[in-house]
Amino acid sequence: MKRRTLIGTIAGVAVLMVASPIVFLKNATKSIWAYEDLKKFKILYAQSKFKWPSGVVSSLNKKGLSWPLQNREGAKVLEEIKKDIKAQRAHVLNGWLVSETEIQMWAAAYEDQRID
Amino acid sequence: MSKLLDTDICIIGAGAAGISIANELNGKNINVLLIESGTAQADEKTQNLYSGESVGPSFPPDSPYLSTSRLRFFGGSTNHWSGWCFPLSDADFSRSLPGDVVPPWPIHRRDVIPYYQRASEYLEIPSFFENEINQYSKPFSFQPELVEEGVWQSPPTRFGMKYRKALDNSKNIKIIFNCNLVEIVKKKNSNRIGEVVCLQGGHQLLKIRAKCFVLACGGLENARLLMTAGRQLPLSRKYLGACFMEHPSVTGDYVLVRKESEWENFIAKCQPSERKTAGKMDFHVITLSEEILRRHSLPQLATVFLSEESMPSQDPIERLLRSEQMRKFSTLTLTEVRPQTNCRLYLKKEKDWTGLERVKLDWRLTEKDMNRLQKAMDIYSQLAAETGVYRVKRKSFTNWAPEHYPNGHHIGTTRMASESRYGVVNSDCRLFHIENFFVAGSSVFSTAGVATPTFTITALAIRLSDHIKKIYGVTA
Repeated sequence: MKRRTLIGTIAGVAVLMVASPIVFLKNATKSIWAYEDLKKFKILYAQSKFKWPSGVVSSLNKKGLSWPLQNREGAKVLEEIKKDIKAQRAHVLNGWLVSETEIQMWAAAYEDQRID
Repeated sequence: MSKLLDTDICIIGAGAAGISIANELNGKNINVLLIESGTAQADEKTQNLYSGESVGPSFPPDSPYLSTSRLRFFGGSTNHWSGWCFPLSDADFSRSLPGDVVPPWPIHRRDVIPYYQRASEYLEIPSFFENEINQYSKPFSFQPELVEEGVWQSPPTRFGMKYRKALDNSKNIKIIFNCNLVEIVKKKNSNRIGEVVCLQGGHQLLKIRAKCFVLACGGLENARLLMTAGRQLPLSRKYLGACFMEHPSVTGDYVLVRKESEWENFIAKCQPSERKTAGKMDFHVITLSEEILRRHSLPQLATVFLSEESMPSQDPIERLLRSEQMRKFSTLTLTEVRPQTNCRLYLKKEKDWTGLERVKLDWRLTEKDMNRLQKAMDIYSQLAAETGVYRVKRKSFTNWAPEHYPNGHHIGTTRMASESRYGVVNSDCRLFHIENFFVAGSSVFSTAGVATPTFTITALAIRLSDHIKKIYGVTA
């Protein structure tokens, strides 16, 4: 009995150890951008007649950004945003100049949360 | 019955320009009369002389702009200015834009620099001296296309209060209050002014004969007086009263700045302090580099950060951006408009109580102005975003909106030019075709730039006083 409990505990901890980073990352993504804002962003983006970005996760990966983002990627994201804006890969939404990287991140976050 | 006074120099108007010139001539071997329309205090009857009509899409109907944006008593509009001192840049003096109907200034900034330094004493900003002159303007380290330009904070100096005592105690300067110019009389068969006629105290005519006259009544009144009291003078009717310029401001637009300690200094630099540091360089305005202005044929703009906004926004895009650790500030942006001959003063049939016609100011921003301002704002927004430091919300300039408002900066109605076919005064601020009549104040500015005008008004007035000293052999 004692042995079974021990194995069960070890298995439970192992599952938690594997699962918790996933849960953490999902929550981290959600906590950065509110789903309500992402939904409105999608509508605004559609109204601007821009094509909704597909394969957002892979395009972020191409930029060396893993999805969901991690904190240490902040500086890298900023560099990508600057590069986009210099190359005029950006759109004006509600008066704000928004880079393609930001659009892809928000689109990915929207898709992530939508699936949930 | 009229009274006659003889003097050497007659200065008409006791605002920043008139008082600076009088002060420069104080204690010299020359007699000066300083004529003031009002007294040492504001009064309704005198202030009413400024009433008129403002028309054009830049003003709401029944706008009180003409009577409230300036003050008519000893010290003039320095009695209500905020004290921001901001010199014109090199490019402001020399830049032309495609479609400009008139050339830029006939003088360079280097001609005015020594007078900015002397003006800084009048305006009580001694630290302007302490800074190397070229250090006040430099590109931002993180974006060389954006330039930080210093704005000094005058206490603000109230010229009437500050300089009255010295002028009262002067042996060679006499101040006459309640005295309004009604006629400028040219000598027969001569290109000189013989005398001016004033209405003193509302009923007494006072004739003043002088070797030299200086009209220093402000950016709009100088032109009105030349159009009315000086109607017989041989002046350019095309430019007298024309080319009126302002600094239309845009408020209610926002910037987001990254919450990182290294940008705290940037914010502090670009934000006027709540407790103004009189006498010091108080903050920086952000302007566009000359290179960008030239490359895109743009007018200048100058923007400052105002208060930090902590209220949640309804704008989802702003909320998404702010999630990335950004602080929000409201901003004020002053913009440059170019001289246009259809932005001008007209005389109305209605007369004021001195018998001179009141004016109608027609000021309109053309479609070209709007398009250029839009382009300048869009490029500024692009340059800001490129830094990664801050993001500017773009404003639409397709229509004149309530959040765009004039600043009470009256510029250009007796513009300075190299030839009489382009302006009213020459590079010495003297009326073309008249030997002994000068004009001082922002009405002589050839272009407006984005700099608040008092610093340049004072500098040019001191420059004019040096010229007068030279031609009349004035010594201590």
